[in-house]
Amino acid sequence: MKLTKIKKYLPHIFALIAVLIFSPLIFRAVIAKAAVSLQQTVSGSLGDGGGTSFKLTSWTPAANELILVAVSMRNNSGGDPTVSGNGLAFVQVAKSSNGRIPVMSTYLFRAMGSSPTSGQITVNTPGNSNPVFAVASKFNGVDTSGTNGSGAIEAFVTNNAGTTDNDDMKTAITSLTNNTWAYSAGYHRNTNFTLPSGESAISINNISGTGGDTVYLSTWYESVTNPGTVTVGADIDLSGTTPWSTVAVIIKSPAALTPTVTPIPTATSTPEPTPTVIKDLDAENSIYSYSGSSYYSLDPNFDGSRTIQDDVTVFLISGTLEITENFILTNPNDVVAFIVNGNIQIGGSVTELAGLYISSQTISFASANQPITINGMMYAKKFNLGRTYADSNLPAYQFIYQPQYLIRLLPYLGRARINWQDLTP
Amino acid sequence: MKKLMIKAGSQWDRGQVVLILVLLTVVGLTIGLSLISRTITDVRISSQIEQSSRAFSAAEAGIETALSSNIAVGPTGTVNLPGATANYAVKTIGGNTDTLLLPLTQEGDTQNVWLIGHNDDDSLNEAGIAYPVDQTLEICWGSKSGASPAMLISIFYKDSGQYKIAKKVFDPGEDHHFLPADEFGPYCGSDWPYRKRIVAATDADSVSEDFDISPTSQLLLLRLQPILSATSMAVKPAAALPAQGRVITSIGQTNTNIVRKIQVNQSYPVLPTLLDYSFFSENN
Repeated sequence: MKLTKIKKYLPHIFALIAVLIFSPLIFRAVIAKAAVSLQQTVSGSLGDGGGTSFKLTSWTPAANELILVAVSMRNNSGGDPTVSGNGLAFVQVAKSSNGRIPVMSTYLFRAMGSSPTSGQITVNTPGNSNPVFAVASKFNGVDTSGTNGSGAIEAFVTNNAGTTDNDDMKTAITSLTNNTWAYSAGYHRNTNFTLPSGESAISINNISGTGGDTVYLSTWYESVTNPGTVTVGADIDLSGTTPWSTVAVIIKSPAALTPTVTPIPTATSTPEPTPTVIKDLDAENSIYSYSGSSYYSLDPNFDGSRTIQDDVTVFLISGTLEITENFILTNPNDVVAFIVNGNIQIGGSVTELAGLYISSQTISFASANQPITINGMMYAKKFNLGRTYADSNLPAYQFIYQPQYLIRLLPYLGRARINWQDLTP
Repeated sequence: MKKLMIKAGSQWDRGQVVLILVLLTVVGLTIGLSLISRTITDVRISSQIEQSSRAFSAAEAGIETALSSNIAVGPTGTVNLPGATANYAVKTIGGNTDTLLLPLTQEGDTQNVWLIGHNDDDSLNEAGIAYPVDQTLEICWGSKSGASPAMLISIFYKDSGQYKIAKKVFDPGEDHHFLPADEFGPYCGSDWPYRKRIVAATDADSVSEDFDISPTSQLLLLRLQPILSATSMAVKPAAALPAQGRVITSIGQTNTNIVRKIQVNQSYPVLPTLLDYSFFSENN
């Protein structure tokens, strides 16, 4: 077998080794994938003279996306609004009213479902004859527990300018969990809202109506990394003193997945194989690590299948991976990858291996007079090819490329290519 | 008489002194004004550089905001910083029948064209609609003058539940015994001199190269790898391509109206070119 020497791919090897060395960061990256993210925002409004209902721009929500609809009404004397559409049940989260007459109010509604339909959201405003503005946003990476998005809303707080107008449209709210978003919707009368530093706009300074009845609605958020109290909005974020009312909520991300880590074996002068994989594998996680700096033996009972689905299993091993028996995937659509910061030793009795094997050092095939077939890929700094088998019709080492590894490992080892360009304005 | 002459000479000397003083004043004033003008110019240039940097940083902040918040396609936003603001917008790359442009790619490196959509976790949405197997894809390349790169085209697809790959290499020259490519461009509506039309399945058109993939297959990914030399590439589809990523445009502007613009193309995650090979050794 003639070894391939392609120096230009050294950076990829080093990158993969770096992935291994910084495996804790990988875990964080996997966990971070569950972060809240904004998917789309649509809006709709009623102008001067109002009306009893209006529709927002049509969209197509996905399953288990959280939908928040903020509604600002100049005058809610006709009653509170309701929201419907997309085959979902919209539930009012909170109502925030100013003490003025007529009452200016900000409402927030939530919805979530497993099979929403495409179409427009309808906002019903009974008895209304004044301007109204509504902004709907959908989010994914949220907690999908509860009903109609209840699990995704960890907390809500309302606030308003009170009896004296001011220009400080802000709301303090406390996040109890990591990686949440503090979302705020605010009605600010006849003033422009300026986004405070560290906060991100969703849709700000939306205007409907004219004169003193003009409705201004802004929605924005602040990412919250750690539990604690944050203030959404800031002092002097409005262009002048005015009445305002806000509803702020904490959008909760799903519980983080914690990869199971195999126990570190007790160091001995002669490292013993520690077939501890099977008891730690579970149906929840895909990435497992071993950092014993010793021998890690592949359990002979492991066949790549952890669930009835097509599984992806990634092992991050710091030490030496020892394979003493054939490793065959019972389900050929399962994917198993071994990324080893150390050596991989393949015993002489092994004639068939499946998987992706990456070693920062050496992959060694023990001496044996029999061929071996690898269904997958092998990348290493160096190979020791100890097989003595010789047959003019059958190779000693047969590699069968498996294209599914390049597809199925995308969520785990894929990296986005980012190209920055400084353009002429 | 002598006294008169002495007096006249003294008045003449005083006139000369005044003249010299005037000349010195003019020279000094000229030098001073020159220095002031230069200083003002330097200050103006420094201010413009500082403002330009501030606008650029604001534009970067807009990009970072969009990247860090993982904002999907559609929203626009504003980031306010001391003395500057940034307005950013996020749009989809692909998702239509427009020609897809791929940047200069070194020989042996790979560019990816997704033929099916993605899920939120960056996996492929195999339940979605893939690019039709019977529709042509026009692959164009050859951006550097004097170079005639060949093109390795790999199609990843799923047939009867199995992931498979089909590969062909096309060469505009005749020196390497690859399959022939068209070499009398421009193609793809621009300046690419080389082209190959491909069809994943089979069609009756002899102009396009058939990959003979089963018509019931589901296309997943097209990987393009220049061989022999670097080149940029373009892919002109006959049907709409799925989304390929997103482009974030951010315009930073200072209070003095200095404007800078940054554009970031962010692809969906890809695996390194290394995984195109089944066996790789760094040494021997």
